[in-house]
Amino acid sequence: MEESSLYSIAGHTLCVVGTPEVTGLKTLPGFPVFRTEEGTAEWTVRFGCDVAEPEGGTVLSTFDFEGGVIHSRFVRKDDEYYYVMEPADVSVPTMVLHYAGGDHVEATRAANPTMLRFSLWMSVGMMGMASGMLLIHSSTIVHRNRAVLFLGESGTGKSTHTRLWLKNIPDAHLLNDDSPILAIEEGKPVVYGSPWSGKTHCYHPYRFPLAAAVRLSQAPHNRIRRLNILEAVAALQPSCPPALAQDSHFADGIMDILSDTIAQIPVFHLECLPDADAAHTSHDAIFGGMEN
Amino acid sequence: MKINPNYKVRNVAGENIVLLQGKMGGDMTRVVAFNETALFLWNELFGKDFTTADATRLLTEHYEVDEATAAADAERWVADLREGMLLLPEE
Repeated sequence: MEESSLYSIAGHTLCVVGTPEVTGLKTLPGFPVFRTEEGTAEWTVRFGCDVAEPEGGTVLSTFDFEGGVIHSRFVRKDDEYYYVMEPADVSVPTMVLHYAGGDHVEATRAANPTMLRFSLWMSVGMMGMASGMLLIHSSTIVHRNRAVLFLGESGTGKSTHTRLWLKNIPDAHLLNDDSPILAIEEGKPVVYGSPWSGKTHCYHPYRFPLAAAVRLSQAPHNRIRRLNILEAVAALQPSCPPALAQDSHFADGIMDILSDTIAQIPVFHLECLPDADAAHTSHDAIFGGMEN
Repeated sequence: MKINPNYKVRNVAGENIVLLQGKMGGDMTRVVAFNETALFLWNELFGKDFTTADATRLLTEHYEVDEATAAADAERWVADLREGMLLLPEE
């Protein structure tokens, strides 16, 4: 009998089944604070299953992570999805996830902590979409009990910018540095911390209403501009999980969440330097009108 | 010509748009917005093999517009689709 444990992710109870994986998660950075003893499983990821990539599927996307240590592909066959992780080191076994819709994912054994972490990220990404929640690539600040998503391609300086907030803006806290969860609850956009925070160990099981989203780009000056609806879509969409965004079914879910978000909160583009003034520029644009 | 069936018009925060995704994880997403007329033509002609004349006819039938204006609008609509690469490549 495989062991199982429960995690509370974005207000949903995730049940992980698999003795080695449950053991691994006890010490995997990020996961212990999301552990819960209560609740009934809404989502299940079962490891150690006998699943394999089928013949004749359509490869929706391929991407590498951990600096090319793992090659992965996302495959659709009929209405079922397969996510395959192939380590560059051929002595490490390939891992396959299978999702046929609904509230559970079947997976082979996770050979190492990286694959365990990423398989759960992908599983929550797929299962969560039906509940109106989206993993979004962002460094996220909480200020005055409201969250701000900072977005941009890897290397744009999201983490640098949020560090500048922590240093220069009173009452600024980091909620997550890589992959928080954007959800629509009672029609309103909210942001949850998650067990996935990139290289920064910043794991908080809290939820905050979303105040704004800011797309960053590097520039020789600090300048911020509020985006119109079309620009806001183009600013947010590239920060959604690329594999899911390439698929028509998941793209519908993504756009529903972005639509509700953009209709209610401002989205900005910040051209910025890595300096204190950049943090004040974004802070003033978002919260300036609310100061006493 | 035919509209590329991989594209879908979605209503996002009140705008009718098609997303043109760029490379993975890049900043290259482009958004094409449709006004009411452009959306009408898209919905009528999606999945069909059509000519600019078909689009013109739809406009004159559906809107109170003279032939010349409808033809010019239809031509511009087709040119916009072509520029946005929303049409299937022709053989």
